[in-house]
Amino acid sequence: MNTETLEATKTGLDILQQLNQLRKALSPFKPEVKSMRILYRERISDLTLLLNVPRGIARKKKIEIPAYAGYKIFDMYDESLNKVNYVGEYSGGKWILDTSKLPASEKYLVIMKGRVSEDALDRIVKVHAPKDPKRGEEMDRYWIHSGIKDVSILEKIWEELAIERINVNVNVGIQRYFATSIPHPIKMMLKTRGQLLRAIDSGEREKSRLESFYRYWSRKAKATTGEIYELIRKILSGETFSDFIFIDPPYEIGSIIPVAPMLFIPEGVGVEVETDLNFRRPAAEGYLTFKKKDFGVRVSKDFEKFLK
Amino acid sequence: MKVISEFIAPWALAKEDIPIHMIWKSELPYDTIRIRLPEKFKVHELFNVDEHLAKGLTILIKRLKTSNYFGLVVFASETYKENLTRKEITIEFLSHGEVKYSHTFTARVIRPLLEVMKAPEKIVVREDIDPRKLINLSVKYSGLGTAKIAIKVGHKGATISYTDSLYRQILKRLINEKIFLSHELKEVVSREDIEIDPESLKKLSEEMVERMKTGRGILPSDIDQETLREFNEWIKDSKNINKLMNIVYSEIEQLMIGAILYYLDRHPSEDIELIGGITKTIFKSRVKEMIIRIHYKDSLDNEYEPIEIPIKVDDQRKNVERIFEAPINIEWITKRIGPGV
Repeated sequence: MNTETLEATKTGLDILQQLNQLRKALSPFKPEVKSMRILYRERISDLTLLLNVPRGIARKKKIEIPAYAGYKIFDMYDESLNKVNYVGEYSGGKWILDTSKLPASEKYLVIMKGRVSEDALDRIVKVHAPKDPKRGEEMDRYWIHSGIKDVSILEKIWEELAIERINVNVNVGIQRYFATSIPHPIKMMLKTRGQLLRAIDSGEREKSRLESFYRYWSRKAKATTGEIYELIRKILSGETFSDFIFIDPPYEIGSIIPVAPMLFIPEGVGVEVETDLNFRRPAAEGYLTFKKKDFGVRVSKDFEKFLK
Repeated sequence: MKVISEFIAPWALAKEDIPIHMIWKSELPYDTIRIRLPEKFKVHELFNVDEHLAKGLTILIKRLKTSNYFGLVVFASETYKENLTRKEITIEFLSHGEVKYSHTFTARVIRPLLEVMKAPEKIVVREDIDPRKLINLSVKYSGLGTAKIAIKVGHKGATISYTDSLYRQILKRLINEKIFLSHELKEVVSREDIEIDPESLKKLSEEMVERMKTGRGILPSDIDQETLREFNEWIKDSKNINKLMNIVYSEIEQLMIGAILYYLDRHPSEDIELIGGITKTIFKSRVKEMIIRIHYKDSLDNEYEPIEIPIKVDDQRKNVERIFEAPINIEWITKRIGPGV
């Protein structure tokens, strides 16, 4: 048993405790929590509070809201849901609302936004996807899992909690399918061109023989190295690649980015998948499917335009 | 008990996280949840657990943080010999020691497995024999997951092996043609047909410098000590990164062609990745035996027992001064297994 890791989950959710204190600080205004939402991907959180500010004594006061965990007032609405243009001032670690500047209303809906550290997020949820897919003839499949690790503090405070856009990056391997889908004359043209360029550079005696090889293949495949490189980049861009990626609900596809294009050609494509979790659904699983056969057909087709 | 969801990751490599969860609906009168793990398994994390007790391979959960849900992440701490190993994880809900509900999850630990199907016992090295067709092996891949393979050749005499990676090609050009010693920077000709983002060019150059410094990426075999010393000094001088970037840029088309071809060569089969491309062996002086070693790892870099293939060499060359270079040709037989899900 890895006690260290288990310990880490116990060390309290500081940011969440601060939120609890925020609620306490606002207790004279009988705050009603409408919702708390954590946007995992953006690492921000917004919470909606309903503050009760009765006419009379409270009116003379200033309302102070401690800016715990970097939360700031983002928007405010009166009881008729008209937007209040005044959102107070920030001073000495607090948000101060001068009640005389507020429109006449007994209730205010305050929307606050704050950043959630990566560390805090790690303690709230965890996502997994395997390194290797299950490979079939036509498609590769990757399982995806996400689960809430600890939201007990949140549950005690907020009635409504959602952790949205929980994302995981699945590295979809494309190497082989890409490699076999490039038509033979194009590979040969590149190969002979590479050999020829090397021969020219080093003044090799084989130059004229290589030249005739290259001429032969370049008649069959007409493309510059730059054009081929551009086409590879285009095929691996999110726009084209997304046609071959399918995902089970409750997951959705986020962005698609080629993985670290070391030596110009990416090893795989990073597909970001997202889902939402809440008290009713504390864990979710699904599959990501890469239709590699169709992808191969598409690659061949795209390269065919270079063939004569 | 109405179970809403019972999940275990359908497959995983050794040491890879295997998430498991259970979500149930109705209340169940339990005071303890007992988890029994198979041998060699370890727990990485528990989800939504407030209090627990771990005793060897048994974990007793005494209290959950919120009701009706818990999860755990386990992993196989060692690799297995078989390409698919099934292990059972049992979860029991106990009330006063009596099992009220139980569920058995099957963890499937996968691995790539290589076996030699065909290899020559003996090869004859002679000037009139085509070296490209000399060494032919047939290797079977079975299992699930990518095998990252490095093939090396050992010997008693002077055969050496190398892989013609892109780094090596660049190194060869840098050193053999002594580009790094020229005082003038090569003029960079901008090319209309190839656009390279300067940031990725810089990254590539920096990565190359790092690799060259650490000695990864094999140095050309015929490099003399003096040149090597000069080169090592040159590469350590941070001022030279710009120079290298210029070299990389001026050779961009060749590098690109090299990258595309290298990429195509490196994946002879979907599940196989040849680290550094195809291995070649050079026969210098006469040898009587060579050993081909196939080292392999999975995607998580778990190393598996290497395969050794001893081959007798009958070197009948008249002139051993001339370099005789032969690639290790491998025919891959793939027998992929499904995890059974």
